[in-house]
Amino acid sequence: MKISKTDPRLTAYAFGEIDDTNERTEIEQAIAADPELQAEVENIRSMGTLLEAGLDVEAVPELSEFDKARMEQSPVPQKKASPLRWLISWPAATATIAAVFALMLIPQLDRIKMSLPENIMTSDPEEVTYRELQVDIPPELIEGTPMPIKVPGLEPAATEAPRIMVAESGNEASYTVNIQQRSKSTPLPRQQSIAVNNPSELDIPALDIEVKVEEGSAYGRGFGAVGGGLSAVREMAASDAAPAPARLRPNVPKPEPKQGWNTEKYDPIEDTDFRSPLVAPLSTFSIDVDTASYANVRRFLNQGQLPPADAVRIEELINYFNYSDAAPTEALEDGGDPFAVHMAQASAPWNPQNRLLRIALKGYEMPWEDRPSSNLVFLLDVSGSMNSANKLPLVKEALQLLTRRLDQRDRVAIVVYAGASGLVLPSTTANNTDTIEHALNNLKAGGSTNAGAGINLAYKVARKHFIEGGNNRVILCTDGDFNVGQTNRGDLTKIADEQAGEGISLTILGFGMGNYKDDMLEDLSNKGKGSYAYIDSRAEARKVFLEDLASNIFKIAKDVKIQVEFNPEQVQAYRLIGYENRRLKAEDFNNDKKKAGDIGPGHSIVALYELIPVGGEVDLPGVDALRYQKQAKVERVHGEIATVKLRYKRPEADTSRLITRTAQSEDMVHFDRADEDLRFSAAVAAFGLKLRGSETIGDFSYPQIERIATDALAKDPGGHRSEFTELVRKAEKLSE
Amino acid sequence: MKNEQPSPDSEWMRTLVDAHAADLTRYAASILGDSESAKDVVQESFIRLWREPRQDVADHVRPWLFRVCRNCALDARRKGGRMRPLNEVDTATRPAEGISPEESAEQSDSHAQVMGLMQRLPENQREVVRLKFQNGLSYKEIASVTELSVTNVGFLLHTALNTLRAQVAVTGE
Repeated sequence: MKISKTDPRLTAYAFGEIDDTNERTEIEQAIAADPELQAEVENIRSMGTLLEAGLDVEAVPELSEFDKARMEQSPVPQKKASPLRWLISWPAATATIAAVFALMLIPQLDRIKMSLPENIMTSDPEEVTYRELQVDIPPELIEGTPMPIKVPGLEPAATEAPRIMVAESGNEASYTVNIQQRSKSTPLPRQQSIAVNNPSELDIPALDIEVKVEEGSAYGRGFGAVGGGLSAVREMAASDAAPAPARLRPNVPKPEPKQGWNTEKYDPIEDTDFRSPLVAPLSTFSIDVDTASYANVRRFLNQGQLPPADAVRIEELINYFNYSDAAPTEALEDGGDPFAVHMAQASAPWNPQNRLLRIALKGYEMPWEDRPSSNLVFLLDVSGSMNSANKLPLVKEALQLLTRRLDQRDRVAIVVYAGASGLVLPSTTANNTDTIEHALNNLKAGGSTNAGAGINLAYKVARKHFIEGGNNRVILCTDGDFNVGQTNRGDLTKIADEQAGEGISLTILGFGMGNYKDDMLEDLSNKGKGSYAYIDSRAEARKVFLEDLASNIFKIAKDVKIQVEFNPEQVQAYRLIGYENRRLKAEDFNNDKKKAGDIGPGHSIVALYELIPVGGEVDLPGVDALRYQKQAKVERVHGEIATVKLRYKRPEADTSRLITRTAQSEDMVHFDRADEDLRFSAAVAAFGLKLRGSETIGDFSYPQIERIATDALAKDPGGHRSEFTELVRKAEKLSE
Repeated sequence: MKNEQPSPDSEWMRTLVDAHAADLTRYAASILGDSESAKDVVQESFIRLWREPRQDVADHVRPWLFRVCRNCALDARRKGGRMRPLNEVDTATRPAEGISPEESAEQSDSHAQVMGLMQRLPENQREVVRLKFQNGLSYKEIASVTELSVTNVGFLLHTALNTLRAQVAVTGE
């Protein structure tokens, strides 16, 4: 038999796929007789090996314990054809039942209806009256083999588990309910055992579910990633202390149709209280030029939701806006200062007895043509989770905006990461616009994320093309869903920290929602010493890459720290609004090894202090008099509120310079007479405090905030301030 | 009342999830372009497995799961307008692995290169390549998964390999 080189059987033979013995023998003989065919088979096999190896590199999606548990679980059992109706005592059982259902039926959650019947069954006055919760499950969900749900790592000890046992019966009668509190000496608050019995005494158990609904630990471990839906469950589980029946409906966990499981993550923010300058005379913090929180808050409000309190970082809200504070006019190379410092005071709008101290920094507005050469490495997350209209397409657009403004002095490279990471655009000068556009246009999302390998590669490319004295920067575009490989937050931030030390900064652009890991990105950008912006729309992409481009990708000063010393003769107590995660120790201020935030050209950075003047009403926890030290003597310095000190370094310098300013008591004006920038930043601060649920501004209302902002729109280039007033209105509606 | 004890079925299911779920998810993701929807599809496949009498599927669970998973994924892709099926939109490069020959100058990694070239194959060829070389299914099993004839599978694989070899020869060292 003669076999041609292109016969498909040759391929089949090479992989041992010829089952027919005769046929195999024939092919074998043909190959033995023809060295060309032998070479062909060898080539086919080596291609197969190459493919196996190549496909093997493609990352296997990481399945969490929860994913696996979900896959292992059997369909909801019960062979009954008619809807199953459970009557269960309210309130004790509700929480448990709801939790059980949520866990059991996660994909079909929306198909189960729970309702309170209109008429409450009256019974013997001696007996406890039960309110009943009816649970209707569509019959098609009730089939298959009864199986316990197993969630590894969550399996409760047998005696502690709340358990629901439903007896199956041929008749349709309603079920009576027994609730037994399984307790030893003290009742366990959220661990009830519920038995639902059939009055007909037909004792055929059909359903046996074990779920641990203990608060805290269970969610913390196994379900950490399931945010939204389960937190509703958690709320229910926690609200078993006799809630009003009316609360039942809103509490029923209802999956949001579009968003699916919300697994966004935010680090907690603790509001700072007023402090006495006698106890803590110095307030020290690093500047923060991020704006991500504002865009993220806006995204929530535009979606018709109030943002979670921890997503609101007030300093990022305030610094989102541009203020008209004067910038230094002298060019940097002529020895000019990189930024100007402005201070102003006015009464606090929410409490006229208190005063606001506004400290504003304004970066030198470097002409675009004077900018340093840039070596930019874009690190793009192209994992599956980036595959939506508000993510990857926006990234592309944003990068196109940016690269169009660069030229032959600048270098651009693109590294992508997903299942594997790779260099899709080797570092090339920015005037090769066609090459860059081509690379951008060919980006497609898919696969899971291994940010670690991508970050390493990006820094490697950046180091290779390092520009001495230039702007060397990795720009990470991601939704922050690092789910494969080096996902350890500590490891990633360590890399960013080290590379920042070597002169490569990290700018972070956050995209998307639902799975947004704000905590991680904020931390990374702080360590990587770059700015962190959140891009939720085309308009925001334009703001970041056109209006504020220079501020976001260049720096004119680094390690900028602020330390304020308050005069106890004037100030009884003070608090810094925002900057909670930027606080520094007092001694870090003069320590040049201690890093802090960078300032870019034209950046506006504003910090607001609220001060309670001496004589004001405040109840502060004091400290006892020291036994081994003399209390520092208060110097009587009249007329001074505070001394504001700033330290910064030139981008290439190792030692810091000091700027000192004094805030004079007499500079205070009534709030209405303060300038627009102070009034507007106060409105933004109040808005942030309000969204964070802070009680420190009393019952100051959204309409009041809106009015202040509307009066302080000023010129409003870009319309950002008007947009703010709309957000205030939205928040007001949502909080009604 | 009866009490909880792990049934042999649930033990079996657990071993199956451990053995196949990751591969299935990767496969479904290659159809859907999104690992979260892929997980849903894989879950659906296992739910269907519960409903199947165990003895009917026990000796060919892996191809059975791949077939069900494929069908569910294709269904989901048809229904879900919001998911952009990666493979249909464009058979050109996929960024992580997809590198065009011009760009591959700096790219020495032949694995990544062949992956990039693979992304340019027609979808049906790519799929059989994936099933064969990533998931280790035989021609017959691939035929049952994709509902093609064994000959057809052989032909697709053969063509795919030839194309890849020709391109590697062009762009290679």
